[in-house]
Amino acid sequence: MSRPSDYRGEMFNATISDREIESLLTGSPAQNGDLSDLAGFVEMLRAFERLTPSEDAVERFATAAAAQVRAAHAPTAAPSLSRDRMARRPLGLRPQVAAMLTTVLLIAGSTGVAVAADTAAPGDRLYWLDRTVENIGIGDGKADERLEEARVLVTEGQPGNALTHVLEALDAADDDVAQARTAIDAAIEDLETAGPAIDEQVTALLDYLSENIGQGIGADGREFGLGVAELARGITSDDETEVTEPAGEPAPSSGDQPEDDAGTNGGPGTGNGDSAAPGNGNGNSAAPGNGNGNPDPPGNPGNGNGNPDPPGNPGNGNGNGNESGNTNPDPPGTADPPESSNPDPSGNGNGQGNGSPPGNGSGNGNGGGQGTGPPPESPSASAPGQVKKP
Amino acid sequence: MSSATTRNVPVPLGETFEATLRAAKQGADWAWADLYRGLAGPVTGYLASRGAAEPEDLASETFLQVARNIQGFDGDEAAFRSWVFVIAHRRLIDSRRARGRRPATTPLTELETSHSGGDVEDEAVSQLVTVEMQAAFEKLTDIQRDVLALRIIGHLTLEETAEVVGKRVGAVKAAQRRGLLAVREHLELERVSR
Repeated sequence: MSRPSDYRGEMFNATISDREIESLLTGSPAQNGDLSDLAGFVEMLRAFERLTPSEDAVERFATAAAAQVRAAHAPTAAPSLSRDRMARRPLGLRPQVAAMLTTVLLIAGSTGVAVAADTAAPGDRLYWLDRTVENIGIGDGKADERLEEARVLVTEGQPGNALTHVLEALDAADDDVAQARTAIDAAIEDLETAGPAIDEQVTALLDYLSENIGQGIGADGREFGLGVAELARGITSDDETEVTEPAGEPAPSSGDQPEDDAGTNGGPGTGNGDSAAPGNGNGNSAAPGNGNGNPDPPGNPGNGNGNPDPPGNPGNGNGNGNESGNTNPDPPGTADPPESSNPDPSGNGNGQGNGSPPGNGSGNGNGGGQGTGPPPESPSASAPGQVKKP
Repeated sequence: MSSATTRNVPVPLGETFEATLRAAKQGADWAWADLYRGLAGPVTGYLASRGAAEPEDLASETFLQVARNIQGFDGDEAAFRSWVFVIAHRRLIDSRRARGRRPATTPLTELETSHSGGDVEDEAVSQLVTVEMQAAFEKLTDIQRDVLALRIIGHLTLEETAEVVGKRVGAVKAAQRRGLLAVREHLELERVSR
């Protein structure tokens, strides 16, 4: 993994190997190289970890936390707050629900209105009521309906709004899905760098949500969150994924620095997943494998790159096989880096990965296959990283 | 999971972690005190380094949220650490959002001087250089700062960091490399101009 590849900085002799970076960051003694300047920087930053609280503050926190745990624990174990919140909730579960229900019904005047509101779409005047009703669990479609709305947004070419929509649906449940929310946030922020297969990826995320919400998240709140997070991370372009070991190629494409973006990504290396959705895990767990064929420089053998599974990730086939480019039906409008399309079609990307799900499900992402040159039907579809604006 | 990342993570509780976690789930004060004592420093430090206006408050909010969800957690001390940072990072984002997109953050320089007073470590580097390094850090992009702070202050692995920031490992790797190179470049320029 830590191939000692050299990286040439734009201005200075910034040669640091992955191994050096790793030892620098983890505080083990640097193996070589003059990293003294950076070692001082790391030391400066590390000093922050010493912002330890006073004993007083520790005591105060401990009392509050322990009391909270005991309080939540007391009545025979509702498993956890957020699970409870995300789970389907039949009518009249909690007193607050009943109170809110009464309020809503008073406002609405009759149940007839509430029923009508259940079919309201965003923008409709009854939509707010629809949502209020859902939020207290009557519509029972709290999540399902939100997902359906998100699907509509995808078909309307608004994947970003679809994601925001999903985020709203998840907002109610905090902790277990904290990670999922962060990943979706990140995907939204990076939307402009997303590969052309974005619609499919967002749809895959929605599928996963539908399926798992349908089964009730209760038992596996955390795994659910991790699954969503993994899918959301797949949405973001992989352009940064492969630049870390440029193997002699200077100026990797970047995610965050505009000056060295497009067209530096060697050959197209289109790892061609043969399934309909690119590199899509075809396990029954609906956890996808996102394939990611490395765009390798010509002459280099393809470099399959399966991400290791996050711990506890259920059936998360997680190979990386280039979700951009090839399977995309309509790339010409979206990706058009004129100078960057594949100087050398002989680049032979070969991504494969397979997830090793610990428990249920067998998502088996298989982005294997090899692309040679640009796919015929989408000449300008390009390796990730070439899509974004320079 | 196969990891290329070397592990050098402080485990303040070590072998007692399991028992502590069990007690924490039962609502024992001492257990929560131990869990908090072991991680509050890095978590607060992370939040502070990332410009949280009230890092201590945000840290204890984070841990209260941990307490709310502790029944659902299962894992070792490293996993716990990582999980806490997932929540801390989420809290950070939410607090920024609550105060408007680009909040008035507390510059690193103020924090450092106000918190580490009396610490011997500062003698190692001259104050001037420290300020320069902080300035270099401030110049990085958000993701670069997130990643470097999580890796250095939080002692998280590449994979854990990726989970916290919601990106892929490759993106995290690229961000840390770019971040470090940018810092080096900045420091180099400072040195030349001095």
